[in-house]
Amino acid sequence: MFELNLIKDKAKARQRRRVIFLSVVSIVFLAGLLGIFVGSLFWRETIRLKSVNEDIARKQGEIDKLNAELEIREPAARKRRNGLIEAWEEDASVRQDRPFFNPILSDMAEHHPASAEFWYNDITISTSGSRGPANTEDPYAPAKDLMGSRGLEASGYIEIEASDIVTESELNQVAKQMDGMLRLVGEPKFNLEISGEAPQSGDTEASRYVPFNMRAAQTTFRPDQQAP
Amino acid sequence: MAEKGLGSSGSEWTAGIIAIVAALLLGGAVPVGVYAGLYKPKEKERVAAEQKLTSLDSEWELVIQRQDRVRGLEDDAEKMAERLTAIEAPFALADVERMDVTEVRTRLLTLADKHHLELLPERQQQLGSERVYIGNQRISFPKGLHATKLIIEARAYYHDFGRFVTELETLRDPADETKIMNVIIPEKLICKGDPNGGSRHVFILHVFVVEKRDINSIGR
Repeated sequence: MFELNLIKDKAKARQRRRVIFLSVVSIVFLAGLLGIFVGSLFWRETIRLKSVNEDIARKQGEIDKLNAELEIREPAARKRRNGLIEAWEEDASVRQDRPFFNPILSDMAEHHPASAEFWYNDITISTSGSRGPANTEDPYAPAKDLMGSRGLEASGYIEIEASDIVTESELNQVAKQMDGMLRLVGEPKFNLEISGEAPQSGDTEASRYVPFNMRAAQTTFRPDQQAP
Repeated sequence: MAEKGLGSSGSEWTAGIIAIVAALLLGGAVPVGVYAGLYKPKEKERVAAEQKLTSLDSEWELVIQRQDRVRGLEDDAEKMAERLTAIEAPFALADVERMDVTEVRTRLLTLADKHHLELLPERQQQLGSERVYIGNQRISFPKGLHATKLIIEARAYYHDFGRFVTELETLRDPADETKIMNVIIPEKLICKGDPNGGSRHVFILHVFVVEKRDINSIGR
C-alpha cells in the first residue's frame, strides 16, 4: 500500500513537472511566435520606410532638377514674350500711325479761293525736331520726332481782283475745307502780305498779285494726342 | 512521508507557477519590446516619410503647373514671334554698314521713273540718275525698331509728285494690291516753286524706311 502511494506520488510529480514544462514551453513558443510576428511587422515597416525614402529622394531630386530648369526658363520665356509684345506694339503703332503727306498735298492742290488765281511758291512740311534744337540726351529723340508732330509753312502769290476783305474771307473758307490737313498739321492759317502786293501792269484798279503765307498749327498727327 | 510528499508537491507547483509567470513575462517582453521599441518608432518614421512624400507630390504638382505656365509663356512667345514676322513682312532688309535699303531705293527709283520725276541739270551732274539716295542717318525707336533715311530729290509737275507720294506712302505689291510692300515714313518735304514761272517744281522729300528686326534675338 505504501509502495503504491509512492508510485502514485511519483507519477503525479512527473505529471506536474510535465504540465509545468509544457506550459513554459508553450508560453515560450507562443512568445517566440509573437516575437517573430512583431519582428516581421518591424521588418515590413523597415522595407516600406526604405522604399518611401527612396521615393522621397527620387521625387525631391526631380523637383529640384525641374525647379532649377524652370528658374532659368521662366525669366527667359517671360523676357522674350514681353520683348516680343513690346516689339509688336511698336510695329503696329508705326504701321498704323505713320503720318501721311498725301492728304496735305491733295488739300493744297484741290482747295483754292473761288474768285482769285492762286499759286504756291514754296512749301515746307517738317518735324518739330528739324525746327528746334535737337535733344542730344535722348537717343530715341529722332524716332519720337519722326512719329511726332509736323508743321507746315507755305508761301505763294494770289491774284486779287475783288477787295482784300473778300479774299481773306475766301481764304478762311478754303482753310476750313482742308480737312485732310487736320490729321497731320491742324487747320492752316492764311496771311496776306498786303504791303508786298504788286499791281499788274501798273494799274491799281485792275487785279494785283499779293504774296501770302500759310502756317499750320503744330498739332500731333495721332488722334489720341491731338490738342482739344 | 505523505506530508512530505504533499509539501514537495506544493513547492513544485509554486516553482512551476513562478516559472510559468517568468516565462510569460520574459516571453511577452520580447514581442512587446520589439513592438514598442522598434516597430512603433519605425511606423511613426514611415508615416512621417509618407506625409513628406504626399507633400512632395503636392509640391511636384505645383512644379508641373509652373512648368505648364512656362510652356504657355514659351508658346505665347512663339505665337508673338509669328505675329511679329507677319506684321514685319513689309519692313525692309537694311545694309546697316552703308545705312542703305537697296531694295526700297531701287523700288522708289522705278516709281520715280513711272511718275516722270527728274533731276535738275546741275544736280544730275552731282547725283547721276540717283533721284533717290542714301540720307546717311539710321534712327532707333525705343523698343528696338530701326529706320534708315532716304532722300528723294526731283523736279516734277505737282500732280506727278503728288501721285508719287501717294504710291510711296502706301507702297503696295503690284501683284497683290492688299499687300503693302514697304513701310515708309515721310519726315520732311521741301517744295520750291519753279523760279521761271513754269509748272515743274523742285521737291526734296526725306523719308525713313522701317527695317526688319532680328526677331530671334528679341528678349534673349
